[in-house]
Amino acid sequence: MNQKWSRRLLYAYPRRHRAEYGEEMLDVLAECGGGPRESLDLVVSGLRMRLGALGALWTTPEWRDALAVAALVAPLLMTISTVWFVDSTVRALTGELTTGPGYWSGFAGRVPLWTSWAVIAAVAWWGGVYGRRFAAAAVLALCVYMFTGHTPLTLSMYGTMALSLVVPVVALAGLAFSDGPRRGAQVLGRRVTVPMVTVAGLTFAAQGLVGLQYPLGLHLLSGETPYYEYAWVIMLGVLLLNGLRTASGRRFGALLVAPLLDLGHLVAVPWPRAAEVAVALLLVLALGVRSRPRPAA
Amino acid sequence: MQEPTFLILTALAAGPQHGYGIITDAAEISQGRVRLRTGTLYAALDRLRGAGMIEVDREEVVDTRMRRYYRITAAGADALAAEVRRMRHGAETAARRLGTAGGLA
Repeated sequence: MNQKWSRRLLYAYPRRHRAEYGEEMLDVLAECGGGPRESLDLVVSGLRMRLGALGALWTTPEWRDALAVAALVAPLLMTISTVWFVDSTVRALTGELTTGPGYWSGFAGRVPLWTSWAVIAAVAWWGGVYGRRFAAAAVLALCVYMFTGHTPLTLSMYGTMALSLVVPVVALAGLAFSDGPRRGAQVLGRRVTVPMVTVAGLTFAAQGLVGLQYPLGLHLLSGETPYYEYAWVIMLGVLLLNGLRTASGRRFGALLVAPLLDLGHLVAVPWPRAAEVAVALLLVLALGVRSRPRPAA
Repeated sequence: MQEPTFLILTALAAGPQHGYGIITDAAEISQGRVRLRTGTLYAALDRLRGAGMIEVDREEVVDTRMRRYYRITAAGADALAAEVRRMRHGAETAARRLGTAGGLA
């Protein structure tokens, strides 16, 4: 194994490791004589080290709490979508909503998918550790189901792509790597949790009972679905009430605003989405920069 | 304790060694069964340094190259001693149950 090739393989390691051991490792590699197994071991060890560093990042208390908040809010957002999809389907069945060709095979055909969110949220909240594991497994299955093309990308035309695929991923991370939605409620405190759940409850009432689908009229500006509109209200509410005040809140903000960077929809509806994506990008950058750990003194 | 960790600590228990020295010593300790690869060795050395089980003993210049020697710390020696007790207990139990205590047939 020549030194140039060995040096290239060392790029599998984090910069800190290369600076500390790089030259020493090159010496040992030269003495060992190299070979394909040495090369493979170098790359695998380097990647494991990088993954380990990534895992360590998520185990800090601030990130664990941020993920716990995600485990609370993300399933709640998706549960709201459940109500909206079910409501639309009922309206279509009763003839109140005019449906085009392909409605039943596409849009409403996904109702079983969306309704599962209510079950997942309930299990995650009441099921303890095993409930969270079950919920995480269910979300993973849903993500795979959606990612493998069962929810077509054209859904982005309706503004729900970002929230339909990426929010589940955020929910999955929250359910799998945190202490669960109850901890999320503790982190947010009553001052945030109660208004948030109230807004969610009002959403159910407004959509399911009164039939009020566009309370803020934002769809007139961007053509978004009411579900998307409610999601914005809740996410921004959580951010304003909690996100800018605490370290875990800022990390949660970065987690939950990221899905709004829906580039697929940006192509479909350039102007209003460009403004939204720009705002979301600024928020992610601002929150992400503020979320960086302070260097040790 | 993973086997590479055990072999590295055992190698350093005899005295400070550099990277390639640890590899050759580990092969000898394991009677040629284990050949530590460079990537595995330095991942383990980094982890053991972080855990305070080994530390840098000295650095020497050999053929214009810096060579770093590592030594075992008291914490590393304690961990190795605990592992030796655990392995001995396991081996003695196995030998007793096989009815070969006092020497394998």
